[in-house]
Amino acid sequence: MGFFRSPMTLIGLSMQRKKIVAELEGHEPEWYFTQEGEQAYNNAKTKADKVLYFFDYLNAVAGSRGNRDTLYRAAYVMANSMDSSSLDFSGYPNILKTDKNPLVRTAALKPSEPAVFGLMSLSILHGSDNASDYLEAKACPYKFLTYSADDGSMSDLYKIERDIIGAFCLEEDGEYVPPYMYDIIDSEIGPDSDDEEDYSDDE
Amino acid sequence: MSNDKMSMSEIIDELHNIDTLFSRYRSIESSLSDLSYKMEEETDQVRHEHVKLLMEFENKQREKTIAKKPAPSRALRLAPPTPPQKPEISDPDKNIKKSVIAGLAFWACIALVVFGLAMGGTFYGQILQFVCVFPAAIAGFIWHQYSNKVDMFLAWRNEQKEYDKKQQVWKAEFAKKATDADNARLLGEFQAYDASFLKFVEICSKEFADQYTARHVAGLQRIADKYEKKEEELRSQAAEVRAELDSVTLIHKNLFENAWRIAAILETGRADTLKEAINLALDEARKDEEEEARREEARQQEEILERQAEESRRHNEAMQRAAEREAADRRAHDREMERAAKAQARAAEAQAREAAKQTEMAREQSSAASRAASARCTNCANFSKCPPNARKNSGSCGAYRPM
Repeated sequence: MGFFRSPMTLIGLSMQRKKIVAELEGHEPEWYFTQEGEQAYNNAKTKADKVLYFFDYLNAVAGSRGNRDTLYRAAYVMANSMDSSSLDFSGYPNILKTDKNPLVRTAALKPSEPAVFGLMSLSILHGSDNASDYLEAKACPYKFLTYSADDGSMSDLYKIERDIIGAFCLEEDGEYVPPYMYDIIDSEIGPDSDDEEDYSDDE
Repeated sequence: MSNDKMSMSEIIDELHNIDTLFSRYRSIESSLSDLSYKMEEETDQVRHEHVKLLMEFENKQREKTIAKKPAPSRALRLAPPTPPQKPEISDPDKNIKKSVIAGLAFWACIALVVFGLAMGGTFYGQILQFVCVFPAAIAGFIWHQYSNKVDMFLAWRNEQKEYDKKQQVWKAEFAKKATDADNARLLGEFQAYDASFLKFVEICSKEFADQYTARHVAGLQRIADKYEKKEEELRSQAAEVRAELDSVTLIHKNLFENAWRIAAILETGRADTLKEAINLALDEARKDEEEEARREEARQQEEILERQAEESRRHNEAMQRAAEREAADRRAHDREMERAAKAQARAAEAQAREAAKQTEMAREQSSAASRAASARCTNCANFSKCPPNARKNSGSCGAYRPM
């Protein structure tokens, strides 16, 4: 069949070749910082377009080991609350930078489980590298979170934190939703207390 | 009193006294150790109870106070849940430049050949045909080799169009679900959850602080009070006995443990002097220890052998049970086969009976027909003229004349 393709088809294919290949293969992370990449960001007007833009970017950053479901959730949070916030990582190109956006940095580390991804992102957001603190009641991780004011107003950081928890941690089974972890002994004694010996497990 | 001035009986009495003091000291130490153990047990019990009650309190408060977990955003509940997947490109070689050049060259040569033919038998027409036929053939050959790449590329383009359509569908679904109202709903639920969780922590913290003093510290204090007096008494007794033992000069304190042995050796006359008796006593003590060690080793060996014998017995029993199960299965199978064979035999027998019955019926019918034929011939006027062979077909005989 290919043998009988008309010359017009051949010319049309030759002109569209690069575009088709680029769209099918996807772009490298560096492309998103070029003029074309910036143009694509500016062309993403709706939230859905932004989600797709960030989703493609995170897939490029995470590579073959990225989990599509987890990266989609991250792209959703980026589009929903991060991009339009007043924080350091909002807007182009900061929203894409590994050293500014905690979700991009976490994607580069390639954890696949949603809850792990979420807690790592939260810990980086709060300036810590120790995500395990967010799973241990002893560290009282709920204290690291921001809370809404008494009048009900919510800061951008609050919205981003809750978006991250909502996207990654709500489906976890367990008594508590991470990082809302509490244990009446461990949380009250704390990690460095002298009273720790009194409550050692004697069973 | 120095050892030299003491008589043998005084030495023996002194040794018995040392032994009594030492045993008493040992007993007091043992009582102190038991006391300490009991105190520790009761302290652990208090701690354990305190922790258990706190955990129960926490569990109850958690169910009562913490609000329902917020429901995730509807945007995470799409169908399909994630954006459509890009089509996979299997062939890494996407350079169709050569294919296009070969294809265009081929078509150009064909066009020239056709143009040459259209010019009819003119000189230029023939030159054109001659010049372009071979290049057309070569270009055609090369084009034929590369044309499949064009097909592949067109297939990718179609996949890309399909992918674009799926993306549009996904975007429409996303726009329906990822609304500001849903965002506001989620944040509102989180606010309620935060407030309830912080209240829960506050209540539990207060309970912890209150009960720590009221229950935990008070409990430990009660135990300390209960055992303190007894402990003091025992310690003071131990100190008294220790003081008495420290004042002993007859033998070194390391020998107090063997004072009874030394006394026994002197009493039985096995040694004449204290020094001899001490040496003998130490020797006996060492032998006793070795004997005890040997007995312990033998006991451990016996335990090991018993365990091995038990394991071997269990293994044999298991093997026997397995063999019995297998035999029972085989018997059941044989019975089943026998039943099936008997049923088959009965069926065959019934079939044979039926066949015999059919044969008998056929025979009776045949003989009845013969009898009827014979009776017909007997009543025929031409009976005497008819040959015997003809009488077999009397039913269809044309010469039959009734008498």
